Amino acid sequence: MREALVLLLAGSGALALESALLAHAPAALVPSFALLFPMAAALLLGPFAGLWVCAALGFGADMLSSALFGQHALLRLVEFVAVRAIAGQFDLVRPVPFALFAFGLALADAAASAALIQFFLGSFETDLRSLGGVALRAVATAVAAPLVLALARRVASLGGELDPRREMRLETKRPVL
Amino acid sequence: MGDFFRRIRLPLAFAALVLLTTFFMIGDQRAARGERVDAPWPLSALLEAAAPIQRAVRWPIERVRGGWAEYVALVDVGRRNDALRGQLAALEEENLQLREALVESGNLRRVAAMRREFESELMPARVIGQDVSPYFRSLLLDRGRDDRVLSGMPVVCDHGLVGLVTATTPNASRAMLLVDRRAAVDAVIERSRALGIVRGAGTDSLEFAFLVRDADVRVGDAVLTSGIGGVYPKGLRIGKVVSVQANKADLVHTAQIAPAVDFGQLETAFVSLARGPSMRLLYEGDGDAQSDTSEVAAP
Repeated sequence: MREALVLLLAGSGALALESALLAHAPAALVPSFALLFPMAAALLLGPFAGLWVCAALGFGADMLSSALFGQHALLRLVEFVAVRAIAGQFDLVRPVPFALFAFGLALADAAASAALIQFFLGSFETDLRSLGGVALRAVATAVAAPLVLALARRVASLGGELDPRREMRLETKRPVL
Repeated sequence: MGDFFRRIRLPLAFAALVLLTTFFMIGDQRAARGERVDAPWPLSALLEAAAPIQRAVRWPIERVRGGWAEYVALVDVGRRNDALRGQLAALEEENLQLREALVESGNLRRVAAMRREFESELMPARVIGQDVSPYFRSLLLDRGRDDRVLSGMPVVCDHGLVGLVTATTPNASRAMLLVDRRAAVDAVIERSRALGIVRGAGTDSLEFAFLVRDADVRVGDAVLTSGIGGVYPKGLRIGKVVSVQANKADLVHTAQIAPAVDFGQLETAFVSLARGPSMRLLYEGDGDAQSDTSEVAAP
């Protein structure tokens, strides 16, 4: 439990840092900590604690955005399931698979956000520049992903012993939820 | 029984959280139609807690940017510049309102009455954060309820209208930008007085929708707030028309507007410490002035 709280605090700090960096640097160069920390929590923590940390960080991101309230939280919940499902098949704790998965998930997150906007607000319009920015940001997120995972592991270990997740790769029939 | 509960508690928690987020999103959608929805206090607390971190991030960046200039004995220039920009924004606003009134009637007494009506104190606020979502546009400001900043107050800068305060805590606030996809402002073309609605699209440009029968909209026309709707004061600069899309079959035409404010470069904004009549109606009368942790959507 303590490791979940420590990770939640670190994730909240990272959210504030992301928001502050966005005010001073081009958005395409700022990794999405709002996505990476929940991913790390889903991977490093137990399923129950991971679920709550993902939801809490999602609501935190909602507070730092004018998006529909609950939108980030919902996406983080879906992404929690995705991370745990993929971790059952691949060794996501290794840097390269985690970075590649983060890249894909960042793009999927942007697409899902667009779908939610379309559904709840009735229309979604964007331009090529914005789409390019989303793609570049997914690259920045992928580059930062292994570092964030290492940091999250270090931070979480301050709160207590982490469960090794290695066996998840072997139990391919293990239920996600 | 205990074992069964242990097995289903995770799917149960997942389902409950999905329902909760959906409930919040539907509630927020209601807010977009003008109903007010309060943000739960733990989340307002997060906004409050984020502000010191964001100030801490801003500090070294500012030092690096401004270090050399300050080193050459210009220590007070930044502060004086902020104060002067505040005065400039107030004068610009006043000037535009006066020009508006003169265009309308030429009656100076009415101009004076309008000045009394719209004059309000401007609170300078530093931008300490931006929206973490790529599709929405908002700013986090380092002023909150302790500085009399409340939800529903307009935010301006020396170039024109910036947006609207949508959530506040004691020491921080969030402002929805004019270019946010949920923002809408009643606007008027300065030259022809054609009325319409300016809407954000979540990108760097704005869309001006106007009725064909009133239309005299040309590229280069300045677009100002009309004051209709009672959210923003009249006569604030919104931007300039860069293109007009006219389809003869349509009753409503649209024009693309380049915003007067460069939102990406904004470092200091000014919160007008007076709500418009609509925002007063929405917020006041329920003791909100002291405990405002609310969210407000576009008018």
